[in-house]
Amino acid sequence: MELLKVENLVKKFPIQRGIFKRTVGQIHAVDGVSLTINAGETVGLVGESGCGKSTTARLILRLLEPTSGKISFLGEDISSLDSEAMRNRRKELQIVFQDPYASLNPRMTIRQIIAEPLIVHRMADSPNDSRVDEIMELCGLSKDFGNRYPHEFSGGQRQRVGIARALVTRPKLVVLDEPVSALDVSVQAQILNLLDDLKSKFDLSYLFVAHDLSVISHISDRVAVMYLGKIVEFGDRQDVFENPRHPYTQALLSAVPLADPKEERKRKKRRIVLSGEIPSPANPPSGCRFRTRCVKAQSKCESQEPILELKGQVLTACHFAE
Amino acid sequence: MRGENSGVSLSYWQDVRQRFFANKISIIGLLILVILVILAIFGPIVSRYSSDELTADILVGPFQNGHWLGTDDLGRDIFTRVTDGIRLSLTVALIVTLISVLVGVSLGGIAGYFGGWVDNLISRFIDTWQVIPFVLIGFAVISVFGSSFWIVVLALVLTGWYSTTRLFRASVMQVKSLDYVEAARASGVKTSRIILRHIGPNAIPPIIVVLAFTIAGSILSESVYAFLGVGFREPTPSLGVMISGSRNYLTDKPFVFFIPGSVLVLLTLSIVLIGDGLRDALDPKMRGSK
Amino acid sequence: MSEPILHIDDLHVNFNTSDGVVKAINGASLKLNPGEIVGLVGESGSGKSVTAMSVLGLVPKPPATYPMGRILWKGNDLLTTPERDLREIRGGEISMIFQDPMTSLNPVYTIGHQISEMIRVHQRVSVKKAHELAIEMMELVGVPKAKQRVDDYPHQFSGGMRQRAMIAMALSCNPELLIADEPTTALDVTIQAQIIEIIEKLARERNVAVLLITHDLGVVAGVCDRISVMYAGRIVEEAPVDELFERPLMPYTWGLMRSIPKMNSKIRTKLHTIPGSPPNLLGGIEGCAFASRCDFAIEKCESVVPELADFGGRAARCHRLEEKSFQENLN
Repeated sequence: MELLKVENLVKKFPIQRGIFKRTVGQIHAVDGVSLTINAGETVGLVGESGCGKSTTARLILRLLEPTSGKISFLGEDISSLDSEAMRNRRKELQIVFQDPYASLNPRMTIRQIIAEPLIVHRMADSPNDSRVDEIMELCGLSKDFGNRYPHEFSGGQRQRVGIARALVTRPKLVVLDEPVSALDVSVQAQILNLLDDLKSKFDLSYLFVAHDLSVISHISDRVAVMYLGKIVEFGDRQDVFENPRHPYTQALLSAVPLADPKEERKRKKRRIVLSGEIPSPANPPSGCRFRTRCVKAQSKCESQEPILELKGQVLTACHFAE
Repeated sequence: MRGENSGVSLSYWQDVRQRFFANKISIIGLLILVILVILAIFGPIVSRYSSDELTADILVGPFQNGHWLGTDDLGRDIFTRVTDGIRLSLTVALIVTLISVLVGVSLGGIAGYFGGWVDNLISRFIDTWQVIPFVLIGFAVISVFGSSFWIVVLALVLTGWYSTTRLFRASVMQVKSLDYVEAARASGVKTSRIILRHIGPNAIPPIIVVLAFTIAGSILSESVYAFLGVGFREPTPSLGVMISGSRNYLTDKPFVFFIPGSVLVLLTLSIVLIGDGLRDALDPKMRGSK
Repeated sequence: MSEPILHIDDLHVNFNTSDGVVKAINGASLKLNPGEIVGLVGESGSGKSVTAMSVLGLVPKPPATYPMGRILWKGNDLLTTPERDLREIRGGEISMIFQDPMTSLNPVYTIGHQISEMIRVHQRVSVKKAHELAIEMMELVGVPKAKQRVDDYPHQFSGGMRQRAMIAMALSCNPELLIADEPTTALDVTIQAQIIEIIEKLARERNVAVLLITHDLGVVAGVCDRISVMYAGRIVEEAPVDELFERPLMPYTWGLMRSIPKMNSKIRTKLHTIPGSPPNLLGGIEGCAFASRCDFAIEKCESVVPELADFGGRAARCHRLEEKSFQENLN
């Protein structure tokens, strides 16, 4: 069953200069992104900085307003809902943020933080509701943590609070924006396992945004690779990781360092090291955006933008995908 | 595990209070201020004279003829006048600061929260206003309307309102960009509740420190205006007026100058020290430490 | 085997804070041979950065104190070397690059100026010659159009380019040791690969020893000869790279490797987790610092600090390794 469908999502940020804030250019943060998330699956959204993955995550939840495009959730078009109606939907669509130190209000107790969505949606009257206790326990937070303040906890514990807050209204879809990037490796594993457990327990679907390919590989059912505001490859995790078609995906995979010295030595010879830098999203290259760093680039790539189409098992946007 | 070892969990203000009182500088400042305030309140009750009363003792030194701090060139008891002066300075400063804060929080809050053309408008307005030199504004207002209490207050407000506005705007903008505000929106929290529970409580602490310094600044400004002759004038017992009036007797009877002068310094200093202490106590990085 | 060029010998570092004494480093020993690339791996709070900064005397004292231990550079103890001599060594014999190139570069001077300045501090050359050398270094680290970009300011460079500029600066005076503190953590994966490649290439070409500090086991697997693992202020394991990954001996290292998601796994398994979080180093810890989180801890672990025992070319700090069967059963 299709839970979320995003069609041609676009977000442009104006660049303003001068005392009267004249618009002198646009940042093409997200430029025509389409994807679907089915019930019970985890879609991984991966890319490097500036690719637009975090922006996409926020657009889906309408924390940022799309410049254009359509977002459908459970068959309903949520991109055009008014703020009151949208607010109502939010109990089904939640988000976990990256920075455990900035995502919790330092003036509220843990209990108040977790209970807030329940209170706002009139699902509970006070922070002492049993649902808060329940979710805290499920997230590995002891009950006596409830009356304490965020600064008393470690990064991993705070992230658990963020997860508890996101799940307390029993949403159907949870967007996770780099939820483990700011955590130590050993804590990261705890949180990833927790997310896995909660997913089965509550029959959740995840949109997992990250730049770490190993994490994405571990947790995703399907993977979308983004570059400079566009999806360049989208398919089942196994297909994308074992048989990537797009030159960027190939380069990305070969650049990820593996914790295996023998493998690393073998790969070094085959490693695709991309030349140049990521172009500015204010001025993306014409045609295929990846062409400035691509080994296969030809004149066609400059004039014609490739569309995302099925090549083998995956959707790829490249004229010369093999 | 962390969180289990912390013992008693303190709320934000309890934590701030604890750290404030642990700071020696804050205590000294507070002590001085308390003494001065007590003097200001009980001065007129305790003293035998009123601040306008002319006695026959002209320019007598401290502790003579029942005048604890002596008399000035018109025979007025200095102790009484100085305690009245403290009261006047504090009253003016508090009212000026209160008005500046009300304006600052409203305008600054609106500019910071809504951004866009609203912010642009308010910010350009402040920029323009700021260019006008404050002393000239004071001169203009007072020379046109005279130097009554409310006119002086107005003059000071006109020059002090925009720094609080700017600061609160910056504070609101900074807090608004934090993840937990976005998290609140994502949870479906209404705008009013976001402002009251999330942005407000976190945007206010940084300006509390500024408030302390604004109060100190107002006290000094009022005294300077008086000294220059464009603020309070004789016979109003403003500390600035007293200092100004003592100019002719500086070499002969220095106490007429030093007494109001020292009181002014002590008053301002105590508030500044409290401000310093507050800044350290409110520093979020130090939260949870001693 | 040549003499080690850097020998950190039983280093202890304490920090005096208002809450008490934090024992940040409790016995760290490390040896680096000339031209060797050694990785120092650990999570946050392990003390790896403090160790690195101590080599060049960059840790403010107070609040830091060095109650015990030596840092021997070519036989001389850097901890007792006067500041004047340390300044000669910094940049000239030992160079350091940091994690965030944005804050390590001065925004008001051009890149070229900063590199030339570094050169002129250590070598007697004219301004013009230093400028030429700066351009040469920039070309060496792969900055395109170096002749023009030498007059650019840091904000005009991207993250990867800035890090290259830092490397250029660090290597401009031909140091014998390069300390790289999380040099790629703030960079994108594709840029990270470029930077690691440059560091490795230049180090091998110029026979520069490298102390690579990171939390990323993948990065050290690809480029280091030997790896030291740090936990709660102590070196808990040390081995040549292949041996460490094939057969980690210390339970922390073992647990850490199992908790990293593997990109190539076909089956999706649950990640192994190390319960709890790294300890608070306030006041010091009795016994083995990892005991409270260790699946294999015995009574002895809580009271006696295990020695860094030698196992033929490698070392590990664990009481249980005294049992023959433990080693085999672990892997």
